[in-house]
Amino acid sequence: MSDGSVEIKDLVKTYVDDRGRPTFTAVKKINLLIQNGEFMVLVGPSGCGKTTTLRMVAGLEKITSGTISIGGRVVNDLEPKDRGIAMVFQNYALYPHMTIFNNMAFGLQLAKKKKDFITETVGRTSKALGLDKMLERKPQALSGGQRQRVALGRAIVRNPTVFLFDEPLSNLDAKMRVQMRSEISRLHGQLGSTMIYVTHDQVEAMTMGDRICVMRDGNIMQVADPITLYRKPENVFVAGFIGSPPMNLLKGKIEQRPEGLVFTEMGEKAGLTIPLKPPVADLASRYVGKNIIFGIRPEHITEECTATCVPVESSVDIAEPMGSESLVYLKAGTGTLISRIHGEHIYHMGQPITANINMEKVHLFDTETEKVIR
Amino acid sequence: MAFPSLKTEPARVSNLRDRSTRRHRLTHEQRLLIRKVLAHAFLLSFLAIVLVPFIMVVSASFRQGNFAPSRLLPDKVSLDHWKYVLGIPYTEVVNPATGETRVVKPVVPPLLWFWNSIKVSCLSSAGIILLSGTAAYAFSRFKFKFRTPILSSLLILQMFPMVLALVAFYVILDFTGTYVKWLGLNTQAGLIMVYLGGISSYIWMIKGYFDTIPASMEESARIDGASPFQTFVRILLPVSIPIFAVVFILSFIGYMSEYPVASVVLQTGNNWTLAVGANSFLYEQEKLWGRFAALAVLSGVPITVVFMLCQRFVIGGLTSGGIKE
Amino acid sequence: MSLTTLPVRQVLMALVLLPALYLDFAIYQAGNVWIALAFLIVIAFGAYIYLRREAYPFRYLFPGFLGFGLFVIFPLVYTVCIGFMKYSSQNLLPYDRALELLLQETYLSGDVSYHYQLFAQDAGKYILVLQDMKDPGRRFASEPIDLKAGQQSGASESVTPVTPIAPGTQPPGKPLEMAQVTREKLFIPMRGRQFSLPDKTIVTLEGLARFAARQRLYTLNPDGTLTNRRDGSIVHADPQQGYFVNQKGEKVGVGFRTFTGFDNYVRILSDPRIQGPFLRIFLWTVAFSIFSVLGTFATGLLLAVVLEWKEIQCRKIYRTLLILPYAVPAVLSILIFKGLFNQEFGAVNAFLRGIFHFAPEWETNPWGARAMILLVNIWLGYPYMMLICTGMLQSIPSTIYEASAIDGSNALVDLFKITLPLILPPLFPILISSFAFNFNNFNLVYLLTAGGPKMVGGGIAGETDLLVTYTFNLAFRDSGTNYGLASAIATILFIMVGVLAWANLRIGGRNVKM
Ligand SMILES: Nc1ncnc2c1ncn2[C@@H]1O[C@H](COP(=O)(O)OP(=O)(O)OP(=O)(O)O)[C@@H](O)[C@H]1O
Ligand SMILES: [Mg+2]
Repeated sequence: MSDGSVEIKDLVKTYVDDRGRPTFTAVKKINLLIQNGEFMVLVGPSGCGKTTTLRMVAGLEKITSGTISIGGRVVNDLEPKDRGIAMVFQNYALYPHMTIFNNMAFGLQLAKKKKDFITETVGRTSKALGLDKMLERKPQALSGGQRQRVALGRAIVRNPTVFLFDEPLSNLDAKMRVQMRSEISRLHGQLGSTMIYVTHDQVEAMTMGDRICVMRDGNIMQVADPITLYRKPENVFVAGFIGSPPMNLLKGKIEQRPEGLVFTEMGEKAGLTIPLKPPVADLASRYVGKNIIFGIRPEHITEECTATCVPVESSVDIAEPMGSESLVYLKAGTGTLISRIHGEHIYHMGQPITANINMEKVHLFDTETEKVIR
Repeated sequence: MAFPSLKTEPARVSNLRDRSTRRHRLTHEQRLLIRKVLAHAFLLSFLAIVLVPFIMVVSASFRQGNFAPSRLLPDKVSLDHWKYVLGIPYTEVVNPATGETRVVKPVVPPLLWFWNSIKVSCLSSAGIILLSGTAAYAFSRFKFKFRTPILSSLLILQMFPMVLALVAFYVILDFTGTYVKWLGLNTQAGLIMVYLGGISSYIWMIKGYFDTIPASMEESARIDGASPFQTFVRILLPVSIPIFAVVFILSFIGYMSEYPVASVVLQTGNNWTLAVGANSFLYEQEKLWGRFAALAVLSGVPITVVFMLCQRFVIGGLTSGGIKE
Repeated sequence: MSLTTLPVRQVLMALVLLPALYLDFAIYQAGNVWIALAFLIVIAFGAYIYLRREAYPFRYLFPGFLGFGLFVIFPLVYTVCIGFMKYSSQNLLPYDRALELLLQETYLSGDVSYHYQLFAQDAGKYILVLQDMKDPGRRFASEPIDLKAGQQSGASESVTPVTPIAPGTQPPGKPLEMAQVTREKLFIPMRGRQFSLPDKTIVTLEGLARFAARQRLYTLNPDGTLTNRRDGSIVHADPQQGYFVNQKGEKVGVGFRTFTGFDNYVRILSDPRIQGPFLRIFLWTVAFSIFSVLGTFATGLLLAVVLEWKEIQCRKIYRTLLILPYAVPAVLSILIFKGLFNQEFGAVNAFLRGIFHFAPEWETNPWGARAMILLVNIWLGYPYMMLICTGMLQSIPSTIYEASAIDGSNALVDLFKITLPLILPPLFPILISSFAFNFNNFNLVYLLTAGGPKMVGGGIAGETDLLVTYTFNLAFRDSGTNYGLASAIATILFIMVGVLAWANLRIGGRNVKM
């Protein structure tokens, strides 16, 4: 079974209590196709069903309806060990009473592999992970990063076609996390296996994933490669979820004014008014008088003006200088905009500033469907 | 403000503070000392209350004649009671006037009761661990209908005072005895079997422990290809040894002290447990305190020592909700 | 996988199943049809659970449930059932057995008596020859029968037929002299036997030297009543009394156990001979439980607080030694205290007499005995509370006390305003369990005072009896054992403690994950 493509079809998971009564539907009929050798990242806010999906792929959770196929074979009724998968858990899940060697060899021993083979495989893997000096130790005697590497090694030893990761790095400190991140990426390069990786860290998702699957409340919101996801979010949720600081999302209306189409923000109070230029104006013309969500990323609000920009008079509310760039919270009318401005500047509170909104980078979303308007 | 004046004053201020703190510290130290002395006095007198009974029992076991424990040191030292308990024959003066003596040797050496008790308690506790460990695994790791109600009713039903169900035990053992000889009345196997019913509080204890062990470890083993039974035996059990130690010790001590059921089930002296045997020395008509004391020391000491050695385990287990019965 | 593991399970199952089925068959053959059926159902359940995948979790539960069912649930149900029965030393046997005994009763019918002679055979067997005293020509002989000298015959209910023999003939073997019969006590095994003549008359040994005809006293009528053949009276079973009675209402024969509904409960509530002691014992049981919990808790907490004080040296040694009462088997400690509190010779009174010239009557005065029980129970129980409290205390962050010290508090205020409010809620379920445990603390009372001193006018009730020891005595001690009444009280006890446990589960359930 070398084909590691994973196909999820109409997958539903409804949790039940002891008596089999449904309590909560965590995954609602999702469809997802993961190519052989692809690094797929599942992201989404807490409780959106990422872990549940992953555990169904692993076979640890019963599938309510729908199918999961690995390598073209439906695995719904297969035991985890027969699915050709390996899983790395958030809390490592090492066996505390076994040595590192036995931790890694456990699966092979259960599969009744030859002793020489086991020693050879575990030795090779542990060397590659830099664990060969501590094979006789127990997990308590290892650091967090080393433990994570043992968990990784345990997965590699199984020689799976699909690796499953459930937030494997969230128990590590920031520096270790960066290091392990690149190690897993390198592993993916070397082994070429399919990997499904759950995280709620955007940076991990963007840097590691070939493609990213964004989930919310048991639904898939968008599946795309990182750049597409960033450039062309398909809905308000993805737009707001991906990117830090998040995209400015203003609720308002398109109005026909004598000077042309304008967007007026409607919060609790009337807010910002932004005149619209092409190409946005063309899209907006279909929504005159209708509610709309206006989205613009902070880096597309600049001090310099380009051909397609619209100036908005505003003043500095708070500025967070970060060295090469600054996050500036702008007060415009009664609303607030976040902008990311490059260069080493110092801003004062109340300092007037002309914010130029790049019309080419504006996203408009339908308020009702929350879908992007194209 | 008064900046300048402050500048001139530091010496005086510090002086003042110094004096006041010194006086304060002195009284504080004294108070502390008094308190410490009081605390030690309290603890020591409490210790005396705890220890004196044991010392008196030791002394009673070496004291000639059968007197209730009442002295810290025996007046006339004699090893007769110890010989009796160990089953060693000894001569006793029957009639001081004529100097007539006789050899005393117990029909059943009381040490045997201790051995019986150890046997019964060990086997029962091992059985308890087997039964409650597997049941706790099911309650902790599987979902099935009526799991929670069953779990609660286990605890509530166990509240029935078993002493009062002796008629039923009698009936059961009488019945089993007619078909399987070694499992009937007046057999230790029968007693052990009856003891194996008392599992519910231990199920709760072990389940509580299992619940604290993350399931991902077992899931990982499952992916590695282990069956649930292999997971249970090779992953969960080795990790849960501390709780099994606690359960073993608690149930062991509980069964060492069990009197009523044992006294009804075991009818002949050679089968008695420690509790039944020890009480048999203290009949209304003739209280053989000396022999009782020797037996108590002989059997109490090893158990106590083992308990003290395992104390750390037990305390950990207790705080997770067990009760000694 | 399946090729190697499957047969193992099947073989193991067979190894367990076959003896179980064999045992079940033996039970069935012995005539216990219902028990055999129940056992068969259990076996079937077991086989189902261990062979079918869908019952997987129950594989781990089955052995435990079996033990629990047999030794907790069955005794409980059995006891509750007995609670609805009239079942005591007077009404001991099941109805069938009582009826059987009644039907076996015989009376001397007619005035024909027989001489007898025994002829010794091989292997301790004898042939009995009977000869009519008035008509010496009528003679009968039995088959060789087993007579064990001096032992009651095991086959007491069996009837041995005798056949006529011709006058003048002798059975084989050596005839025994009368003196020999008495010396070897052969009359004892003969007494249990009945011999039937060809005309169905039953003859039994009367006295030492003669046999006489006997007849069954009762005949069973189709409607279930019995007719007394001697005086013609009709006897019927009275289920309310658990006795057979004749028309005059006189009891006949032995009593039998019988269902009487709530009679026992009504008796507990209304019969002054039971209600009086019951109420007093109930009050004492509650008081004992409350004071035991409070006493052990207060002592344990006090010691735990003192031992938490970092300034004291040797805390570890103190703590270890203070746990001792918990480590020693309770039976031994209780019996030791029985000696120490001995009214005349015990150490406690020797000490008190020496210092205060005062010797309480621990054994004869009710209040003295109660005080002794509480003192001993506190001594036995405080280490547990101390351990629990220590655990709780250590979980309170010390910064709280530092903050209160800055606010100007002292040790007492700390204890009552901070420590107690913090540890009481999580301790509550433990205190309740401890209450329930003491409510049924059989060992302590039974071994220490056995309930004594006796309650004046309370029958077998003692002043220090707990409900559980009182009930135990009612059921198992001395004469007049009354299982029915005892079981009814046991049921009440169970309901009280069970409700407590249930409530406790509810309270504790909020912080315990199920
Ligand atoms: N055993 C269960 N019974 C009922 N509901 C459950 C169960 N396990 C999870 N859920 C619910 O299912 C939803 C999805 O859970 P899941 O663990 O998949 O979230 P997640 O996306 O992994 O979140 P996180 O990022 O916090 O790990 C959650 O709302 C959770 O409360
Ligand atoms: Mg998760």
